[in-house]
Amino acid sequence: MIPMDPSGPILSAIDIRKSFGDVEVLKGISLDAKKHDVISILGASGSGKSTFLRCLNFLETPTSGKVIIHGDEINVQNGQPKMSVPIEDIRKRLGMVFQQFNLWTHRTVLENVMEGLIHVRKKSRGEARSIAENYIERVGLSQRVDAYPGHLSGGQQQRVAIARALAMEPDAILFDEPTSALDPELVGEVLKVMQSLAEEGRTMIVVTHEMAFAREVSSEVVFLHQGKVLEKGTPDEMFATPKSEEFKRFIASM
Amino acid sequence: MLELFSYGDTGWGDEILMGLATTMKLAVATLPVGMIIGFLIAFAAMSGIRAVRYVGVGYTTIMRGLPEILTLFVVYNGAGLLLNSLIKWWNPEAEGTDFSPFLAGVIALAMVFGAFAAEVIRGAYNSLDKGQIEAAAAVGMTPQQTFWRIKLPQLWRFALPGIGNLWINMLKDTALVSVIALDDLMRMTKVAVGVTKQPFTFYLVACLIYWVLCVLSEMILSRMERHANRGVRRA
Ligand SMILES: Nc1ncnc2c1ncn2[C@@H]1O[C@H](COP(=O)(O)OP(=O)(O)OP(=O)(O)O)[C@@H](O)[C@H]1O
Ligand SMILES: [Mg+2]
Repeated sequence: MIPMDPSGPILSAIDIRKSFGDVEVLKGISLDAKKHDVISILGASGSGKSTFLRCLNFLETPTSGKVIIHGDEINVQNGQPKMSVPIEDIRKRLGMVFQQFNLWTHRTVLENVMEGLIHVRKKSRGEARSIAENYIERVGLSQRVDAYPGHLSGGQQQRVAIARALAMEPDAILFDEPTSALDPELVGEVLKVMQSLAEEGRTMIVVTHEMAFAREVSSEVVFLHQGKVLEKGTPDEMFATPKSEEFKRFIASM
Repeated sequence: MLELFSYGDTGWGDEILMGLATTMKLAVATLPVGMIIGFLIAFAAMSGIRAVRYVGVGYTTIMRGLPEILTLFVVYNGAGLLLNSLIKWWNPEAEGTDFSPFLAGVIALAMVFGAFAAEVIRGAYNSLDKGQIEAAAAVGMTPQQTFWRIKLPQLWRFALPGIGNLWINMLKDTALVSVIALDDLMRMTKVAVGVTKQPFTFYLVACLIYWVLCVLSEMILSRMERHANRGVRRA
């Protein structure tokens, strides 16, 4: 444990590199998230957004680099991570919301949210249930607690996935294009939940193609291009005065 | 006519029921052993270690290429010899024992069942949704928790139809054990035919009994499938 500076970052990624075979798709990315930050990661398809996000919770092991979460440090060299705590301890502090929702299809809405509380957070069933019900209500799905994911719309499924991540009370939540798999008319309900989380002060790192969200909700925007951070800053300065040709072109294409 | 199937010395009802009981015991004992072999072979065949993978794939290939009855003879005679020589090696004074035909039947049927079950389990494993497994890792489940709580229940759902078919095949294959002098339904039927010289009647009854067993199994299986698929949207 490194002593925590209360105003310092709760999540830091330092010089993350990742190669698949001979192809280096992340070429040294660094990022700091402080409490209450909402960081939008933008970039063209294939620029490495998902890979970077997945390196933060080690669904993908970086080839090299360092991730520090809440004072615990994981240092990777030559694809070999060195960590002081089990990887599960890191992951439970980072929620993740996927493009394809990835709810467990054999479990009801309530069970999906309770699962991690019982088996990872080691809560009693009763306690897990009341926490789960609380977060399910938070995303507006109290009526559907006993439904199976297969019987919900995409927007509802994604809201359950958000409740599942929130219920673990993580230090930060990673979102990988949470609205990209949704029918256009369902995007709004998910963005609304995400916006309310941002207003609550949750720390969020969001890969998105929703320019309105990046512009209006996030506190910081990061633009990835070919595995590098090409630009970053507040949404106001980024969108008002884009510096690179690539980001200009990217905004224009949206 | 009904006398033929009465209980007691004059009729064959009790013998046939005993045979049915043996058949059922055999099938029910084979199922768990076969499933364990199936899982072991399936995971061996998917192992990251090449030698282990060869064992898994090789086992299935060999077992599928052998007639069941040959497997049965090899187990009955071969395993009996092996057992006796093991006993002799342990204690040269000991008498040789007879290898129980029931045990030989269970082992042989389970070896065959396991080879085919391994294929079913491997197919089911490969159709698991990677995203749901990642979601389990992302909430902080250990690989063991992910296996027991996410993969296995879903594996079950994908594997159930195939395993159900194997069960029904195995139920019928139990008839093979009649050739190693195990008094199952098939053998008791043959004995009755031999004594009464009424092949048509007795074989018809045996047919009916096997058929009823299969129909009952199908009914139970379709309930199990419905339960396993609850909550899955039908296409
Ligand atoms: N498992 C993998 N094996 C090989 N190459 C991969 C793998 N995952 C990603 N890549 C490659 O890495 C590059 C970055 O992919 P990534 O999914 O991170 O992009 P992205 O910015 O999220 O794109 P999108 O907007 O399409 O989701 C791509 O060229 C992709 O083909
Ligand atoms: Mg992506």
